[in-house]
Amino acid sequence: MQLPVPDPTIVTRRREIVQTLREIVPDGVIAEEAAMRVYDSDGLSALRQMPLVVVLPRTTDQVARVLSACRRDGVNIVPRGAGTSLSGGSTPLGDAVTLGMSRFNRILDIDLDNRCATVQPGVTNLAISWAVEADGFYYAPDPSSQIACSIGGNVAENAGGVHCLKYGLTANNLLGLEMVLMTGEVIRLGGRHLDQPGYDLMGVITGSEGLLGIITEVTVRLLRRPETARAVLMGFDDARQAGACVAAIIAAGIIPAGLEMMDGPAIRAAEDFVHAGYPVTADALLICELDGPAVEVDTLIARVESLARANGATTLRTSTTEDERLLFWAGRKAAFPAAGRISPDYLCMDGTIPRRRLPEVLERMQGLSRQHGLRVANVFHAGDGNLHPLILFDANRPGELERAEAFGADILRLCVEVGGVLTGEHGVGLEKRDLMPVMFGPEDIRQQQRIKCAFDPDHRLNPGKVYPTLHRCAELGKLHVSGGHLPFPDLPRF
Amino acid sequence: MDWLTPTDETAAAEAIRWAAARREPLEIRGQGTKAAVGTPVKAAFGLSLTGLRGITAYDPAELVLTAAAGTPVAEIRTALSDAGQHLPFEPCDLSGLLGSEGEGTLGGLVSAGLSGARRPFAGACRDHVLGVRGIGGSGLPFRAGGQVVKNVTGFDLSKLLCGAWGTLAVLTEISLKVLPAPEAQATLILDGLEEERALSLLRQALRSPADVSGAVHLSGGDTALRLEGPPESVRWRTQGLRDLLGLPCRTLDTDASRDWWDRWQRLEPLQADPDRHIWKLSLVPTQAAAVARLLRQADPALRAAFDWGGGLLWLATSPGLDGAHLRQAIPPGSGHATLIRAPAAVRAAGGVFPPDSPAVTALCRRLKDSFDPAGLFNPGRMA
Ligand SMILES: Cc1cc2nc3c(=O)[nH]c(=O)nc-3n(C[C@H](O)[C@H](O)[C@H](O)COP(=O)(O)OP(=O)(O)OC[C@H]3O[C@@H](n4cnc5c(N)ncnc54)[C@H](O)[C@@H]3O)c2cc1C
Repeated sequence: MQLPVPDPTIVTRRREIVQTLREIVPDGVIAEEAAMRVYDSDGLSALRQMPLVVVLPRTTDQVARVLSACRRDGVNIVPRGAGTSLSGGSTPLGDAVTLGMSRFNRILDIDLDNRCATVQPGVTNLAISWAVEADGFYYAPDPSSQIACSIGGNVAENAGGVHCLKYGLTANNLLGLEMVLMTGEVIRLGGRHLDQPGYDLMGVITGSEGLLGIITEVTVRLLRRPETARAVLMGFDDARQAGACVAAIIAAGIIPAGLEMMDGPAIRAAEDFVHAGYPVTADALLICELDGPAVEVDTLIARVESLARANGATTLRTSTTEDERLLFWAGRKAAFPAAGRISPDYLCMDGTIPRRRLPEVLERMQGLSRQHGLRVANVFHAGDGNLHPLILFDANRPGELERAEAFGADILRLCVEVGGVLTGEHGVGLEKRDLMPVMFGPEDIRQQQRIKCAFDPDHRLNPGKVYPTLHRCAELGKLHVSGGHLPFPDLPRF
Repeated sequence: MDWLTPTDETAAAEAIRWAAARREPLEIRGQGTKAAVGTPVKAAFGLSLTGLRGITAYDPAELVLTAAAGTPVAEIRTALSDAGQHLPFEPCDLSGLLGSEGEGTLGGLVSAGLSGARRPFAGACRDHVLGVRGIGGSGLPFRAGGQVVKNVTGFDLSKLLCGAWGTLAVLTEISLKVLPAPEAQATLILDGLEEERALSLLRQALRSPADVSGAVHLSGGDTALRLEGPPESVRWRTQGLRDLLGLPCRTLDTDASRDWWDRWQRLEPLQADPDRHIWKLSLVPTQAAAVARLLRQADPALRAAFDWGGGLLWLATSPGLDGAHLRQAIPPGSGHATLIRAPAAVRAAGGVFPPDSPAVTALCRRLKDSFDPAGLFNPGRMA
């Protein structure tokens, strides 16, 4: 993956750009190299690039003025929340201003009667749940990075988590937004009420990876924390049985709060690291969490246990205490750092597949692993078919990063081939940008890019992310009609 | 009106290219069951999607159903219920209100973005549209989204098309997320509660751990709270909720409960007087009672029904109550009103959909142009 070469005509104007930003945000411009270094990558740390300059506005008005100035001066912008994106969404560009939202860190309003909270975008995901914990509420989407990632970044990536099969992704828990457009205009969408009529702008902005505008306020719905939660841990000698068990649970009408799978290598790496009591000889492990009132959880646990037996589980344990439930999860939650212990570097992939294709995909992934000469460990949001293969490599060995990237790309091509998609929750960013044509045809991509043009016709926001080639908006906007003859003497009419 | 009735996507695209070359506006229709919603469309030609019909993929264990846009909603409901699944967003059926025959097509349902009582708990129609195939105004088919339950690849165009009333693109195929239907349900009915009190009880129930999946108050009638899930859980939560409310109430068991919500899903309580205008208001729940009270001063005969614990207010108003006046009753930033039923002449005068800020209006116009640059599809319908 190559970063674009910075435009020298912009880089030579750096001093004047820094000056303009200082006039707008006097105490929030970072231009010294040492101080900028913390911004030189996001969670996709293989890609590093110094930003042109970093600006940290405090108010919506400052954001609007920064955007207006950049538009006027022809300068690009990379929006940034907490910088935990795994796809390079907030990777800086050498000729662009990194606009960091970390100072937008206030919780503005908690309204339990209407079960929602309004916060600034720099507030972390977990801080929202903390703020309402004492009242028995929480914010449902729970990415593993929730202690660090910002809610604005969650909206921009449409982040998910282990509980999103039952409780939805960010998009499904979002009620309102304030956003600054590239024109400097501030728009407000939704609010504490549901389903604003008119085009669903909030829907298309969610998951737009910083390409459409800067989010400056977010209203999310709050849920009542379930009374109880218990988890079932199941080990299988064959991943096919685990796959069949997942299908059986859902076919039985059960939508668990979480349904996670790990393959052999992931089980062993995690067990070595946290000693959760995982069956280290198993080929696949399932963790199934049920939540709700105790009677409901008990009923469903009994059903899940019997489905596990029917599908040949060789290990079957059900948590009886909260500590035990957390222990079951500890290994899964530590899967990434555990991979980091057994390998100097790893790449985390994020495709989704139709669940029934899982055994075949796992098998072919082993083949790819041999072909590329790199190991892979799989963790899997099994309930919704979202795979996270962790490709293990050593960046210090010449060529391994490139091989890891090629392996990753092959896995994603495989996901698309079996009817799935390139990314279930981490976004396209830079990482999967060049694979977009694997999933979408030229007209599919053009139509998405026309949306970009409606928001940001000069491609100032996060250029080079998500879409492999930039088309001039004027060209995309043309109405091409081929044919134009009366086509339907043969079309039935009534 | 002359109708073009393609039977596949290729023919539909050809028809649109023909219209594009002539700059000929098209009215886009499924079965036309909701044709009386929105500003009346002026077009000499119509494009009917009823020829694109049938469920193309449905594996219940994947929780995904894909069907051609012209597939009748009834056909989809049957396929789902045969597999013990359902549409979690519980789309309301406007046919009783609009005097139309049947629930129409999937394309129509999604284009209207209809959701029902379960919406605040399970998500809206747009939350369940995983992907679509469609045709833009230059007659080129495109696809958006995917056919798996979790996907963030590229812009989520499906959400934009959901609720766009056919003004952006012609949908040809839709993939929906579906879920297992709850095994059992129960409904607590409280009689004769005064509006303000009823809404405050609904909110109290929604804040409780009872996991309510329906919270309705019909002014002057029932106040209803629904609980769904495995039977053991429903029994337990019903008892807990009764204790919490501490008021006399009736419990409807699964079958009776289903009947109650089926009637509500068809909006029967609003059907009485066909001359009334029907409005749908989306509100901050705590403000709903005040909005109804204010409007009753102007229209004492007003009939009100609250759903979503107050977040949705259906009104049957006297024709004399005009839209501008009605919208003034909603405090700024607290909600919106959409006119769902009124004679064509009233709708032609505008104001069916709530006005937006100039910046949002301009952005929506640019989005419309990006899909349909010549303005062929349902011109004026959302004006
Ligand atoms: C260890 C680890 C575990 C993770 N686990 C998960 C997981 O389980 N599920 C999951 O979904 N993700 C996960 N992620 C990915 C990441 O945390 C999410 O994508 C998160 O939403 C990014 O938030 P952020 O604040 O760090 O955003 P950033 O990385 O700063 O930015 C992400 C994107 O959003 C844009 N952006 C940020 N803020 C704004 C704004 N205010 N306005 C407009 N655009 C903005 C940026 O331009 C960029 O394109 C994980 C990451 C790590 C490092």
